[in-house]
Amino acid sequence: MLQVKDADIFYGQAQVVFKLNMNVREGEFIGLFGRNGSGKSSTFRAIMGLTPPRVQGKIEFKGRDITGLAPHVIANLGIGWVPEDRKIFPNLTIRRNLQLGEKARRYTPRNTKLFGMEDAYRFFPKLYEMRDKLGSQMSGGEQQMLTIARTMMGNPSLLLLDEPTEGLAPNIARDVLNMILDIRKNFNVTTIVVEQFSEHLLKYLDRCCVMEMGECIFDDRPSVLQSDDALKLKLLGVG
Amino acid sequence: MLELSLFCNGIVLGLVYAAVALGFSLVLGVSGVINFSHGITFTFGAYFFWAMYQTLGWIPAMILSPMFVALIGFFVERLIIRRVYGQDPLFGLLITLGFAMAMEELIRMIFGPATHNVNAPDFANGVIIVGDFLYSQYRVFIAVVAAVMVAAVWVFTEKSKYGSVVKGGMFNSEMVGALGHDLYRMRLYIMVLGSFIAGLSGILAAPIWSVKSGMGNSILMPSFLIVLMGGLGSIPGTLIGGLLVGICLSMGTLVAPRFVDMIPYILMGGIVYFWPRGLMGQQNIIE
Repeated sequence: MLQVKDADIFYGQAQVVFKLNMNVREGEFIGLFGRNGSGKSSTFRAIMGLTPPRVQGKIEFKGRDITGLAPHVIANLGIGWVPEDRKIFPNLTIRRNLQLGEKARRYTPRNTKLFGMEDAYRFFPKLYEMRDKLGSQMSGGEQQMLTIARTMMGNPSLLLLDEPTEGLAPNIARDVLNMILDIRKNFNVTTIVVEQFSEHLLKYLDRCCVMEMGECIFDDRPSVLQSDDALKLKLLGVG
Repeated sequence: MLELSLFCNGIVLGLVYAAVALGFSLVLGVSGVINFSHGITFTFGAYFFWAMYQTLGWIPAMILSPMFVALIGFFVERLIIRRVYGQDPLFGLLITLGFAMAMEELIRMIFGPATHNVNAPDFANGVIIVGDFLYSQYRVFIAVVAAVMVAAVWVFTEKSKYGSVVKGGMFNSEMVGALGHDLYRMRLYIMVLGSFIAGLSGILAAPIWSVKSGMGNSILMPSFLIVLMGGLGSIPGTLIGGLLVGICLSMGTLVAPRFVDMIPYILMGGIVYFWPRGLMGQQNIIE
């Protein structure tokens, strides 16, 4: 579904990702791990066509070369991005934030179950309660739910989640993760999630990639990562 | 009675300022460009109207000439403003100011340096009498049209679906793009809308201010200051700012006629000192 071929990613003159190769198959749930600054978020930005950064190499989505296309074109092809810092619109109500996630009808996939406003409210009942409040009045967890629901409103076939549980209280982080799993169960959406390494998350993943200093150093099933103590220590370690 | 009629003039003027400032504010909000060619679109509106209204009649000319102005806005965005997206806001300011000066000169070459007069339409060419208070019908007509424009923009941004995209784009254009909305097209639409409003305002002002090549300058600075006062992208803020400037300018002639031109600047300074983001702004102009 998504293929990243020998991608080099730069900010100005500085290269942050080196010869990245990724092959995402339809329906997969992939975890992308790595320490801060290892190039995970930059990879997402590069896939979405956001500048900066600048990309050399090739990114293909559903067989089509999407390198260098404008973000809205890429989004309309079916890639949804949930950014790390959430980027909700504080000047709009929650209902209108969700509305903004909707795409023009011609970009909505046909013959599939669609994610609409009712689904947003069903998966995230909190959003329904707060629907007429402004985005600026939300807590971190609520903002995160809104961002995920907003991106789902566009019915992407590939969902890029950038640290969806970052900065949330453990019980709320668990809620958010469960909601993501619930959405995956009900809608056919291929997912790549960037997260801090946690063994809990590994259970649900089909595949893990580990990035270090802009290079992909591991790409295999979670069970293999589970048994690789040296690598786990590297991911968990701070020093 | 003089005070009351000056106060009413202030409200009328303020509504026109608010309408023009809204266009300025929307363009600045969604494209980050300080569009100093906004004043010249006001002038274009008045000139097109002046050239057309005697043959076509008041109302047809009033509908048609803002459309021509909107078309100019379309080309200005396509050919000039598009080049400065994402760059230092100073570039946008300079390139649009340069364009406006060139156009002002072009108008003077084509239509001559003389001022032209436009008559008020027959349907609003009298006075309204309330007790012993007389007021020009035409000014009431201006107030109504300007208020309708402000209300229409408010309904568009607050109630319509595309309005969500516009308001979202003011806050974070990158995210709006990543959700599948074409930013370039939105910026173009907003530029066309802003030019239409400025053009129509130019027509409204034509019978009162008389048509001259420099007339845009007398609306550009106040509308820029009103945007700063009201807060970027806030329609209530812009309306309050517009009315405040209009009323103070008009009433100021009673108190200190020689210093009236300073009033908007003093107001702006005072407001921004206490509310750096403007009265109702949620973000700074260039944040």
